[in-house]
Amino acid sequence: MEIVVCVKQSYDVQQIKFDPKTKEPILAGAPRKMSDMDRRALECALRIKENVGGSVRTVSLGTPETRDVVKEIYAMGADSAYLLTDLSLAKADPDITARLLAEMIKKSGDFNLILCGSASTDGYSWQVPAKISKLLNIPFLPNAISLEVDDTAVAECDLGDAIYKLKAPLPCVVSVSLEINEPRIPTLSAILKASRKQFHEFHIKDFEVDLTPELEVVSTRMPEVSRKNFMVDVSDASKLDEVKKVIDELRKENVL
Amino acid sequence: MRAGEIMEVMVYSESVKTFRELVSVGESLNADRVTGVFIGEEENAEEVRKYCDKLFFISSEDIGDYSPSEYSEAVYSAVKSSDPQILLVEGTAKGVPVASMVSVLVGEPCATEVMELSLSEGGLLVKRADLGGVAISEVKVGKKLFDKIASPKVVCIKPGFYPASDSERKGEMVRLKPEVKRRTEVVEIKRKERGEGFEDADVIVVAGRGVKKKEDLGMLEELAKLLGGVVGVTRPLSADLHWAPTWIGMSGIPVKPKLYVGVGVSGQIQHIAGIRNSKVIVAVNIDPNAPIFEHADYGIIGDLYQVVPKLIEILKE
Amino acid sequence: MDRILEYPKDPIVTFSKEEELWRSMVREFCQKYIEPKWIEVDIEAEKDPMNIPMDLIKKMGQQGLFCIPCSEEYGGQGGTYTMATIATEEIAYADPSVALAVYALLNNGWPYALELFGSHEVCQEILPEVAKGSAFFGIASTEPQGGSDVAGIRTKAEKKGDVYVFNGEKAYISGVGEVQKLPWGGGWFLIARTGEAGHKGLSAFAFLARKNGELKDGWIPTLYEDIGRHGLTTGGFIMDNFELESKYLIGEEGKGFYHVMEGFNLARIVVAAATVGAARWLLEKAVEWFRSRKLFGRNISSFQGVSFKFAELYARWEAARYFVYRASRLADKIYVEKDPSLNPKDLNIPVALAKNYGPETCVDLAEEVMKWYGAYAYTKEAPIFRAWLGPFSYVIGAEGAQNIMKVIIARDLIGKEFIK
Repeated sequence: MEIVVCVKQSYDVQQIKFDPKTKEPILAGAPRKMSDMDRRALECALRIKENVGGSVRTVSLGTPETRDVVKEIYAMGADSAYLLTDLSLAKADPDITARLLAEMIKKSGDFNLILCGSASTDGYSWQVPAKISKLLNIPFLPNAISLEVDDTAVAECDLGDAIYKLKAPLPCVVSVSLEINEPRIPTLSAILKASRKQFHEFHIKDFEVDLTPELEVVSTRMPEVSRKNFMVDVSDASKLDEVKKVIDELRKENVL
Repeated sequence: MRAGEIMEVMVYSESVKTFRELVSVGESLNADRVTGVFIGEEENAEEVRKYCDKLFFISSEDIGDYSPSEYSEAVYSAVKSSDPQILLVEGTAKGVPVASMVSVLVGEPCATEVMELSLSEGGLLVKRADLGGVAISEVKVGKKLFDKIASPKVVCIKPGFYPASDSERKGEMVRLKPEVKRRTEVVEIKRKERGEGFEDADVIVVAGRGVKKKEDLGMLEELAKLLGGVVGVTRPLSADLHWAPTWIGMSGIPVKPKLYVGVGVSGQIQHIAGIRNSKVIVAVNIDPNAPIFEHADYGIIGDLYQVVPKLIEILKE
Repeated sequence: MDRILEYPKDPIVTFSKEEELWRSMVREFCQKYIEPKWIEVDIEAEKDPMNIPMDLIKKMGQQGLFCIPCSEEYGGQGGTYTMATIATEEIAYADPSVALAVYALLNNGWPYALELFGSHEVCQEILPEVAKGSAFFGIASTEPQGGSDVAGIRTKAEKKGDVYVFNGEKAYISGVGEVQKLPWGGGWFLIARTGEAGHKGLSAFAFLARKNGELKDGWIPTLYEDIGRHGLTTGGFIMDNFELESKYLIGEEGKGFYHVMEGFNLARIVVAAATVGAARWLLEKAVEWFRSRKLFGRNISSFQGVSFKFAELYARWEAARYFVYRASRLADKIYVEKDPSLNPKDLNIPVALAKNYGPETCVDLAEEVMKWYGAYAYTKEAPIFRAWLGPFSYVIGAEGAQNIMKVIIARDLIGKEFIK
């Protein structure tokens, strides 16, 4: 089974700081890590490989810092990693991303299964896996919480109001949800072996994709938080009656 | 065509309620015509047709149950049968894959996680959740609105951000039978227990990790009842512990009640992003440093197992 | 990674991308499995020292947190000593009672010493079990009459055919319970007298009290009730004509003193790392408190008596951390890179500095944090006292008394003959 996993190096959203005046995120130098759902997709691929044999390769694109994610990809156990890095990709929208990834997947070899995280931790568009499947003209199983693969892929897909058990022939694209598995934490010897491995690098010139984004971010801001912050401390149980103060305020605000 | 003028907005949804919300969006853009695509049962199609000028109906008997690729082909056939400049799709787990694929088929951009949509300088401007829900971005969608026939910009609107439209329209209906090659089989559909209607609730009490046992939700139900509301849970209590079929939060159900009470909720970014539009936020947590307190109008630092019974006692008086 | 405190930039103590990835993986593991349980471990083991956190030890073994610097041939991770130091710091940050951190540091430092000086056959037998978390391998040097005077050790090991027969007693030894309870068993890097009086008569042994699950005759253990760090057992044992096959001799007869001194240098680095990790937890607890606690209508940290003390202790923490990583990098240069311009004795002062400075900084910080918290810290509901009593074992003198560290520094700098 030849499995391709799309891996994005996202901003570590929990660690992003915001400028207190402008409320804009300070992205320069902000820490990055493998996108959470992509990590689960990679874990999913590795488990399938452990079961039925084959190989797991990853495709990733982004600015040059993306190269840092390769160590973790190899430490988890992927066989090979394919990268496309260029400064212009900082502005890549989901369409450009999907087109480039689809090309990288085709250029990097045969495939039976493509796994992706349903959405990236930072971009959060939820579009790329579906677009890849349409571009490659293969079926798409969205937001899987479980996956079984032999000559078909059978996934339980969490689609909001119901869990759909969907079955598609291979090759197909499956996007995975956070709930699908607990990814392994690599041991030190895996990390050490990983640093000796080479990865494959594409060049932006190798692709005939229009890099002008159709989605242009005009501004990004943390929304204003203007809450009352009326606090009552009843950690000392003898003061418990003070919660009445909150109820009185809520009555004044007419929400009770 | 004049810049800034929308001739036709097409909406696609599988639910009557979201369909009506999307029609409202079209109305807010002053569209001349609002058309719709509905895939499902005929009786529901009959229900939605009155909210649009023309409804393209594809019967689930013809196309089968939901599978994104096949449904995207069906929606595409409706787009081609008309000439929308904008296609509005429900911003849900089912809608977004379909929208993403239709955007590839028509060769136009698609914006998702959108909470607000407007026209500006002949183009589309959206406000969407970004950075995993922590921030809000203003994004320009596409360069020009009117360059090609049946080439709509696609926008996925999150449910609950627009009101359900009441307007009565022409209600013409056309049944389409597109030739769609089915490759994905729907083996089984397990409906989740009906959620409590969180999108409309006035009062929501949410249990977080501080609540130790599922049985303790009973105490929260009592509190919710006294407040006139419903009980929800945060993601880990649903996705990991399976105490409820779904959760309150950006990636689950975003809500905007009049009163939100978080009990033992620490305030993870995605949860906050999903409750941000609540009118009044009350938080109960034993940890004075819990991030939720920054976002709360009223914060109660204390043991929820003491605070909640006390609140119940006071409310009963 | 750093949520509460934004630590200042540092171009001196820097880590490679690999080391940072390793640290973030260890931290992920520790925050997921150890942090939620450390208090429970401390409480349960206080009730009964034999309530050893068996499944955590097993998980840590599976994650490759033991025998980090040992060869992969023996089930180790093939990493540097700095990698072991980073792991120890992170484990202590998740378990500031340092029970699991000490379990880890002992089962990194002493297996490595075994690999440096012991035979291939013995390494092959013991190390894979330690790496898995099935066996314990620590240090047994201290005796009832004293610990610091290693040259004065009395336990006798008499060679009779192909066994050594041991008679004597060891006291204040970590792991006496673990050796009895872990699936395979284990033992210690043990020093005993094979020859003349004084340091030249000492030999080192891989002393296995229990192997393959079977306890050997003539080993009589007792367990103590510690005041803190309950998750790791402390005890003593009597050797009554205990027989150990001669293959378990580490290195040569008469060289034991030198081997154990090198072993202590290595172990002390990770001891200091554990106290630095626990101290980091304490610093963050202090800052959390400062950001929420008010008195007299103002923030508690607006009182300079409080904030100045915090600044002083932070400075000491950074210094302690420098000493630790300076020593671990030097250890790597000596033992891993085998730099010919350096020799094991070059570690003496750097290690003594780290081991002297780290535990005291941690304990002083713990005391201050408890004072800032006030009465709450006096109750068992507050976890801070556990981070005070655990590291305190190293101020008292585990793995090397504080005054001995000072003797080493003075002696090596001024000259042995001038301090007699």
